[in-house]
Amino acid sequence: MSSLDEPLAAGEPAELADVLPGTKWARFEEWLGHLSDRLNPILVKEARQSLRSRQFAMTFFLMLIAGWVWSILGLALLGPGAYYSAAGQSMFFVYYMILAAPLLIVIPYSAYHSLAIERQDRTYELVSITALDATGILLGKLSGIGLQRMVYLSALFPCLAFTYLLRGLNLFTVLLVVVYTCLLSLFLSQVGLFFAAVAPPQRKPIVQGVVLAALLCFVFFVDISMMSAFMRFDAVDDPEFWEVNLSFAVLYLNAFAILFLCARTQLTTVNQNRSTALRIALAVAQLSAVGWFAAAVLRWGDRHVIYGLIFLSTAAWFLVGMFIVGESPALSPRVRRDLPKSIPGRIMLSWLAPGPASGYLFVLGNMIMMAVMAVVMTTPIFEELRNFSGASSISNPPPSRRIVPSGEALEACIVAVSYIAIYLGVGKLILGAMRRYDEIKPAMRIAVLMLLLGVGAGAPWIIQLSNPATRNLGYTPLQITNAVWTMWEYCAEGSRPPGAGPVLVTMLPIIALCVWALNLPGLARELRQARAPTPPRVMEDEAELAARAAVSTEPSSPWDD
Amino acid sequence: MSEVIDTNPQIELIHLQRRFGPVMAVDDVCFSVSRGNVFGFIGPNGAGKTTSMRILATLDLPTSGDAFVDGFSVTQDPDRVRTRLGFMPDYFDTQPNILVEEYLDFFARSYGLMGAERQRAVRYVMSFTKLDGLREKTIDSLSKGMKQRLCLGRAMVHDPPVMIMDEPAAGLDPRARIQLREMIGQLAADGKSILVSSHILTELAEMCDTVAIIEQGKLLAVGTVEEIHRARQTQRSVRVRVLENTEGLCNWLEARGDAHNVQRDGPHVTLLHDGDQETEADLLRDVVTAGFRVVAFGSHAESLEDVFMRVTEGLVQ
Ligand SMILES: Nc1ncnc2c1ncn2[C@@H]1O[C@H](COP(=O)(O)OP(=O)(O)O)[C@@H](O)[C@H]1O
Ligand SMILES: [Mg+2]
Repeated sequence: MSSLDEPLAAGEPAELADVLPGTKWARFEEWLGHLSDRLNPILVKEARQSLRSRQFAMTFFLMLIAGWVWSILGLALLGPGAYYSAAGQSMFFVYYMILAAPLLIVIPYSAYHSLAIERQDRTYELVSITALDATGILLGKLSGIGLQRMVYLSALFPCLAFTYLLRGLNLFTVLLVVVYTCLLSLFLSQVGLFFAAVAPPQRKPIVQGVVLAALLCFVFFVDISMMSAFMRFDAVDDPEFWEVNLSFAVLYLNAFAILFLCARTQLTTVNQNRSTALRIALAVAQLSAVGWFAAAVLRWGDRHVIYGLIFLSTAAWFLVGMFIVGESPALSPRVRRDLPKSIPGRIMLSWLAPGPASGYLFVLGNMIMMAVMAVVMTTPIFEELRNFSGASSISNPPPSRRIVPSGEALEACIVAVSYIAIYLGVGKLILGAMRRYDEIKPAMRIAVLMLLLGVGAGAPWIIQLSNPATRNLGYTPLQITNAVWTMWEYCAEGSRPPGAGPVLVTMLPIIALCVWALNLPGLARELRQARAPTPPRVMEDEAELAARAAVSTEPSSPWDD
Repeated sequence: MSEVIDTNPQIELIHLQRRFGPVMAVDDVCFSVSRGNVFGFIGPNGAGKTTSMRILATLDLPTSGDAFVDGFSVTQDPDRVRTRLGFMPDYFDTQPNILVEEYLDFFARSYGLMGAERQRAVRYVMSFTKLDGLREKTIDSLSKGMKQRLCLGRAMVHDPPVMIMDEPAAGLDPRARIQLREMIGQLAADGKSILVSSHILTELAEMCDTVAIIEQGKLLAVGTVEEIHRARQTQRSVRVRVLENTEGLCNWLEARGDAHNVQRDGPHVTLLHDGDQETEADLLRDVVTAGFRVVAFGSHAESLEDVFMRVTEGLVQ
C-alpha cells in the first residue's frame, strides 16, 4: 500500500462527517457506508446503472400505467358491482398478469442477457480477474436482478393492495400468489444465468437465447393457468396444502442449488475443484427424492410411486453421469492439495474427488442407495410403518394398486443399476480413449453417451424388424440392450417384461460386473494420484491472511462502540 | 545478455507454451521481471504477446509450462494471483450508464477494498491518471486517451505489486504517449513490476529496463536495449559524398575489399564494413589521400528499428 498511504489526506475535501462531527446524521451516514461495504459490488453497480437506464425507467412506468389503466377500465366494466360480486378475482387476475409478465419473462431473460453480453464483450473477463469469484459474480447478478424485481413489485403494489378491498379474495391468497411468483422468478433468473454460463463466450449465443425465451413463455402460460386455478379453489384450507408446499420447497432448493453450482462450475477455472460441491448437491437431491417418494408411498401406497422413483432416478443419473464420466482423470496440483491426508480418508471420500472413475463410483453409489431404499419401501416393515402412521386411512388405495411385491421391485432395481453401470462404464472407457487425442467438451460427452444408448436401442429393433417371424412381437429378450424400452416395461407397465425377466436379471448384472472390472484400472490410476504439498508461498500467504483476519475482528460498526 | 539471477522475481514465465489447434501462439517462453522493473515485450502483430499476457492475467491456461506472479502459479492459484495483479488489456470496457468514479469504485469494491480505504484509493487513482475532471462523465463518452487512462486506473486501483499492460500506447497521440510513459515510470518508482508490450521497439526503448523480442511465439532476444543492440550490431554503415567522380569512388571502394555492399545513392555513396570507428577514421584518410574531394562523411550505427527488423528478419511471412 505504498502509494496509497502517502499523505493524500491533506488534500481531501471536507466531508459531511467533518462538517457535522458526531451528529446522529454523520453516524447514520457512516453506518450506511458500512452497510454498502457488505453488499455485493455488482449489486451496488447495477443499482446505480439501472437508475440511469432509460429502458428500466420505461418498463417501470409502463407497468405503472398498465396497472392504473386496468384499475379504471376494470372498475368501469364491472361497475358498482365490483364491490359486491366475486369480481375481485378477475380484477386481481389481470393485475397478476401485468406483474407476472415482467417477473417471469423479462427479468429472467435480462438476467441471462446481462451475463451473456458481459461474457461476450469481455466485461466479464475484467470482473472475473478481481477478487470476486464465480460465486460472488452469480450472487451479484442474482441480487441485482432481485432489486429490479422489487422495483417492479412496488410499481404494482398499490394495485394489488387495492384488490383486497374487493370481494372474493383474501389477503393471504394474494400474498401467497405474489410470493410464489417471486420465488419462481428467482428460480427462472438462475435458469437464465445458467444458460448464459454454458453459452460459449466468443459467439453471440443465439440458440440459447431462443430456447430460453421459448421456455420462459411456456412457464409463463403454465404459471398463469395454475395460478388462476389456485385462486379459485381455496387450496389453503386443504390439510395437504402445507405438505405439498414443503415438498415443493425441498425440490426448489435442490434444483436451485444444482443449477447454481452448474453455472458456477462453468465459470470457474479448470484447475480448481469444480466437482465436489456439485456432487454433494446431487447426492442431497437424490436423498430428498427418496424421502419424498417414501412419504408418497406412505400416503398413497401406489406401485407407480416406487416405479416412478426408480425410473426417474435412473434417467437423472444417466443424464448427470454423461458429464461426470467425461471429466479429466488427471487431478491438478491445486485439487491434489486438498485431498484427504490419510489413506482410509482417500478411499472413503474418493467418490467426491473430481475425476471420471470416482464420478462413476459416485453415480453407482447413489443408484445403489436409491435401489435399496426402493426395495425397502416394498417390504412388510414399511407396510407396518404405513399402517402405524395412519396414513393408509386417509386414502386407502384399491388392492389392485397396492405396493409392488418386493421381488419385482428388486428385479427392476438390479436391471436399472446394471444399465447405469454398463452404459456409463462403456462411455467412460470410450471418452477416456478419446481424451488421449483431444480435450473432451461437454457436447462430446452427450454425443458419445447418447450414441451408445441409441445403438443399444436401435440394433435389436433392426434385427427384430428384419425377421418376419419376430416383426410383430412386442418385447423379446433380444431387447436386453435397449435400456429405455426395458426400463419402460418395468416401470410404466408395472411388470417385468414378458418372457424376459430371468434373462435380464442374470445377464445384465454379469455384464455390468465385467464393465465395472474393466474400469478398475482407471480407478486405481485415479486413486494413486498423491496428495500434493501446498507450496510454501501459499502457506506463507495463508498465515498472513489469518493474522490479518484476527486483527480485523474488532468491532467496526459505529453502533458497537 | 544480462543473466542477473533474481531470487525473488515478481513475474516469472517458465517454458510457457500455448497452442491454438495447429498454431503455436506461445512457444517455450521463459523470462522473469524483478521488483520495480519495467520489462518491454516487443514483437510484431500475431507474435504471441497478448496470449502470454492473458495467461499471466489468469484469463487463459497454457498448454504446458507455468507462470508465476509474486510467487503464485497462475494455473494453480489464480485467485491469489488476481489480487496481486493489475491487467490492462488491449480493449476497453463498454458498460453503459456508469460514471467514471462509480466505475473505479466498482472495481475497488470488487477487489475487496472497504470504506475509507476504498475512497482514498479511488481518489488517488483519479488524480494519478488525471481523471479528476471527468468523474461525472459516463465511461462510454470518453475519448480514446481518457479511456486508456481509465483502463490504467482500473488496473491499479487495488495497488497491485505487478502490472501487465497490453499495447497501452497503441493509438495514442504523442502527448498522451509521453504522459503514459511518465505514469509508467512513476509506477515503477513506486516499486511495481511492470510488463508492457508493444509492436514498436522505439516506443519502449526509453522506459524499459529490459526488453524481450518475440516473434511467432518464440523469444528471440532478452536483455537491456544496449545489450541487444551491441550483440546484434555486427556492421556499421558509412555514407560519403564527394564533389565529383562519385563513380570513381565506388570503384575505388570496391577494389579495397574491406567495404561491402557499396552502393551509389544519388550524390552519395553508402557502404557497410565490419570495423569500428578507428577503421572509419582510416578509411576517411585513405579516401582523401587517394585524391577524392570529400564534402561529407557520416557513419551511423543501426537504429533500434534496424536491429529489430534484423532480429525478426526472415521470420516475418
Ligand atoms: N483464441 C484464439 N484462437 C485461435 N488462435 C488464436 C487465439 N488467440 C490468439 N491466436 C493466435 O495466436 C497467435 C498470437 O496472437 P496474439 O497473442 O494475439 O499476438 P500479439 O498480441 O502479439 O499480436 C496469432 O497467430 C493468433 O492468430
Ligand atoms: Mg496483441
